Amino acid sequence: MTLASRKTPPVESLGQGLPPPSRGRPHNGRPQGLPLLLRLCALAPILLSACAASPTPTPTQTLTIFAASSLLGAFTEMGDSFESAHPAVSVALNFDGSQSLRAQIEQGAMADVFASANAEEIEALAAQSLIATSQPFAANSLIVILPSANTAGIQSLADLARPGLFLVLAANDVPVGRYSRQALEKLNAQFGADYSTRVLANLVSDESNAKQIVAKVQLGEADAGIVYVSDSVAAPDLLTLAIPPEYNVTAEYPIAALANAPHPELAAEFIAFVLSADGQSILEKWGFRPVK
Amino acid sequence: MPGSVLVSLLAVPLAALLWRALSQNFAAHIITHSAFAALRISLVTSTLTTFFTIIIGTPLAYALARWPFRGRPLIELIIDLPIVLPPAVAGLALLIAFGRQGVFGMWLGAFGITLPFTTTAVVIAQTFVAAPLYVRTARVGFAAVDVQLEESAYAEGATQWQLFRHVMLPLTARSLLSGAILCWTRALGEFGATILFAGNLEGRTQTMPLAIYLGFERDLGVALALSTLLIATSIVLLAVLRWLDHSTPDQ
Amino acid sequence: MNRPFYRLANVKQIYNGRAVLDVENLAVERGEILAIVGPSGAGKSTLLRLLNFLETPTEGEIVFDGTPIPRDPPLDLIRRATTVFQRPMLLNRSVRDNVSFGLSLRNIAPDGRVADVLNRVGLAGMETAAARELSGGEMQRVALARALVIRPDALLLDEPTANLDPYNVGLIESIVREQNESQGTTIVMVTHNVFQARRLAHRVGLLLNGNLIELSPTAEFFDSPRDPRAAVFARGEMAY
Ligand SMILES: Nc1ncnc2c1ncn2[C@@H]1O[C@H](COP(=O)(O)OP(=O)(O)OP(=O)(O)O)[C@@H](O)[C@H]1O
Ligand SMILES: [Mg+2]
Repeated sequence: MTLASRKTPPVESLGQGLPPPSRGRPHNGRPQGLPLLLRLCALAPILLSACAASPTPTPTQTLTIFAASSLLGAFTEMGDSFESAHPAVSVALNFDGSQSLRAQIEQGAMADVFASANAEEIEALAAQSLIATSQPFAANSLIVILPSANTAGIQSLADLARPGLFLVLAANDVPVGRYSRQALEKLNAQFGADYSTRVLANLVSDESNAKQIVAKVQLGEADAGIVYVSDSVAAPDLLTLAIPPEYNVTAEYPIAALANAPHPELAAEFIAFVLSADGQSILEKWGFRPVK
Repeated sequence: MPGSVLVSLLAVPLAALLWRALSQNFAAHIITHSAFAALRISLVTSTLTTFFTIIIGTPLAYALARWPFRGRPLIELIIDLPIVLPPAVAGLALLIAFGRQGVFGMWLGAFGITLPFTTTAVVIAQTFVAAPLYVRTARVGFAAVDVQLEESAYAEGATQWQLFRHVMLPLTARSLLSGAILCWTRALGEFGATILFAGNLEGRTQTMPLAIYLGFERDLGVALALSTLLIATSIVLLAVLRWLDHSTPDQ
Repeated sequence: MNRPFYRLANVKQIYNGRAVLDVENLAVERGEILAIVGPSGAGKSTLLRLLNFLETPTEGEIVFDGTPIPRDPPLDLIRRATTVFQRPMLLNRSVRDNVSFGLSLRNIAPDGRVADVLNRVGLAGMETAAARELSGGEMQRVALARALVIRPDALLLDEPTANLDPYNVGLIESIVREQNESQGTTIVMVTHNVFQARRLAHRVGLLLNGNLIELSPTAEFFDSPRDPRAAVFARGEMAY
């Protein structure tokens, strides 16, 4: 569904024919809304830990998965599927920023599997022999999100450079924030050399993670934000502006079993499940692209 | 003794943090541009917060201590609430009230006033969480003054202002100062409400606690140096508080 | 013209639905010393608080020197009356600072007034002493000096000698009498001590349960009271 069908002015046509804002995620079979608890997590990271663990009473073994915050929806579902296939196993999920998870592992936190949003953290752990091998399991790219009311009337990526807009990005030190700035630079080729400078002049906040960006856009406090596609899928009430693949930045998510995993066989099984057709379709449903 | 376990739990992490921070190049980290900007924003906003709180909170505390008006229990509840609320709730509440799409914020917007993502928003967030500490302390201080002392001054012909200036202020200065320090320390440490309501932008809304939090993603050295600075400031302020509490009272 | 200094008409003070003071009619004459006696809880302090504008009556009217007291009395009216309480209320400063307090509130230079008044209360030379470190009797005399220095038209005394030794009681009584005689100050004095009332007052009133049941010249109050309850009280026999 496009904005035009919502009685808003027709989308200005751009020279290169960039896609107009669209409602919801650009993939098929998106989840129909999220439980309230999940939404709250997006607003207050403090609550995250509270809703992460979901033990069942019978199992004898607990498989501990550390996963990047952006995997919240996908890996919660993944954990449920894995548990139904392994009745004796309980999957404990710990979601946090990839850097924080890495720090926790470095400080001796016990985990079986680490699914990171970027390669750096995995490489750092490998350098300390905390991880033997890793492999990419999903790809995530960037998307512009707008509040459903779109009071700023943003119709295209070019509009992001309009003075006076409230734009929120992740901080430059956070991977998604770094990728967002890279994508804006690439878009200079399309909209002029000063495009990214003009867009960044509208920056009102460097958020610590994508959930904070989603929350501020959802509340209408920010006019636009840039997040992973998977984040926008988890917030279907937002409008989105796609960033064409040639300007987009793709983040490859690596997954690895930890060298001192308490349950190495189960860890390997879980990773195999993530890479299986079933696992990949769950990821796709939550906005990730499969890796070949 | 189990008490020593608790004391260690409180002391060991702080000591470890200080040790780690000081064993790194503390000076180099604190002289970075970001650290300096955060320090400046923190000092300016927490001082403004304390200033406004004293101006507005003092008469309020006095009224709560002395005048049995209707709705006083409700006002006392409203003042106590932010003390127990998680700061994230405070930030969310502020956004929903004063945000651009907020109930009151839309009205402000009609006058061209936007609060979120501004330094003013930082002050508002800090005031929301820190002012109650001042009002509470000041209220207790005022309530402790013998009513007859006030009546006697009033009988001698003091105006409300003279009464406050010459009788109440000397007797409650200690409480008011304690309250102001509590308010200031809390404002200095404010994080949750600020990051939600004011966002995080270096030089505009990034206070020390925000810089520390983001330091995890960037440079732990800066975070450690700023933490050390924050702890040192808090220790000094708390020492002043203790001294205020223990030196002989005025009354 | 000899109009009364205070006139109370149908004055009622009601706390929590209970009338603690209910005075149909009371005129305090200009320049007199009126003693109010009565058991604890009779409403004596409440009466003084009304006379000093610390409260406004729930019902009725109080006329102060010809002016009906409004709900929010102006400062210049308030400043013509003052009260000395049973417990001396002193600032934690020197005797001089305490005594000149009322003058500084009025922006009046103390000049010789402070020394003069301290002389009258027998505290000459004590200017620099810390007021809170004096003896009980001395503190009460500082409190009295604080009241006298502002030269009030009406001086209200709420059991000012209740906790004092005979020497200080005598001293304070003579200061009060002297103030009344030399300055013509109108004085209303609440006391538990019927003998003090007899020594000092021109007229004595008896308050019982908020009602003024007897008000007569001192000699009459003690020798031939109209109300039998006043007779019991006057003989010092009322148990309370
Ligand atoms: N603010 C108040 N609220 C409610 N009741 C009060 C208040 N002030 C006084 N009272 C009540 O009014 C009554 C009269 O009090 P008041 O102080 O006038 O008595 P009093 O004659 O001065 O007694 P005492 O000799 O013990 O000083 C008492 O029963 C007292 O409890
Ligand atoms: Mg009394």
